[in-house]
Amino acid sequence: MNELKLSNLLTPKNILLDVKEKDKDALLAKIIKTFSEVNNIADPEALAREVTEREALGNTGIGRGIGFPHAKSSQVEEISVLLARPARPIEYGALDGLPVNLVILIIAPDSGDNNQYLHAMARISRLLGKSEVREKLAQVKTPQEAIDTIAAFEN
Amino acid sequence: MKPKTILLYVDSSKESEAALKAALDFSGPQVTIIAVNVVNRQTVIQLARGGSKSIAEAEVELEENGWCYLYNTEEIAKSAGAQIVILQESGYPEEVLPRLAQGYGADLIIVGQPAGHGKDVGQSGLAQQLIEHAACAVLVVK
Repeated sequence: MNELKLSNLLTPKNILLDVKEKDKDALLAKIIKTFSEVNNIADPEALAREVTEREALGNTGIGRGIGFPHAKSSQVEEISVLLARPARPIEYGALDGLPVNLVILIIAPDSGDNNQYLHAMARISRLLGKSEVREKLAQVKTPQEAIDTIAAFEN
Repeated sequence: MKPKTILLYVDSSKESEAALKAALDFSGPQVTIIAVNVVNRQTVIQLARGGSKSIAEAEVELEENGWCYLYNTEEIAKSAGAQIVILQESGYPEEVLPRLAQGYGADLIIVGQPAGHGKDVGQSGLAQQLIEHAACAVLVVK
């Protein structure tokens, strides 16, 4: 199986640092809007609905300050992501009660390889679960620095 | 009485799939399933001892596989319209699950158990240990 690496999915355009939005809904809206612009999504509203409908069936805060909204959608042709770092921790409703410092949106094609999607999410969850990765990402000054940091841990 | 918060133990076993089915039988608008995978310290050490992997490599493998099982579980549950959250913990399942159940106010733990076991120590004895130590009800699914 082709191993998807988060650093290969990221570009400076799909990384938002120090996002000013102050609550979860506003943050997700900002993330989805930017994701839609970067990926030329034909119907951003449909994508927003798909993400929020999934969110409604279970909070995607996976603990340790990470929000991981995800969905399958006909709006993308390949697995695509957006990484956001809020300017301040945002209450996300995660099970461990911690506000989030990092949010990563992952959207996969609804007709794509489900195993690849599951493995990509698993790899990202494991990577961002590491405190040293989160600590480094909290300090980066530019999107490119974020990519380099993630690549260093992935390699 | 229908449980409101179910702690579902997720691993690679076939019985884990049966446990998910049982959890979905309880699901409804007021029911939340908390699916938990535990990166078992003992398994990490066994993997490292038994093969060419270092402890760190064994951890990576178990963590990544565990997340895969969790996201697969989440896919199935959400397709069934069930409310589910997932999490991964490290430690020993027999210690982690009762602690999480108490911490999150779970009123039922569901765990799969391989047929023909139950008295042995280790994975197959998990159900027995949960029954003895958990403060809430435990459902063991074969």
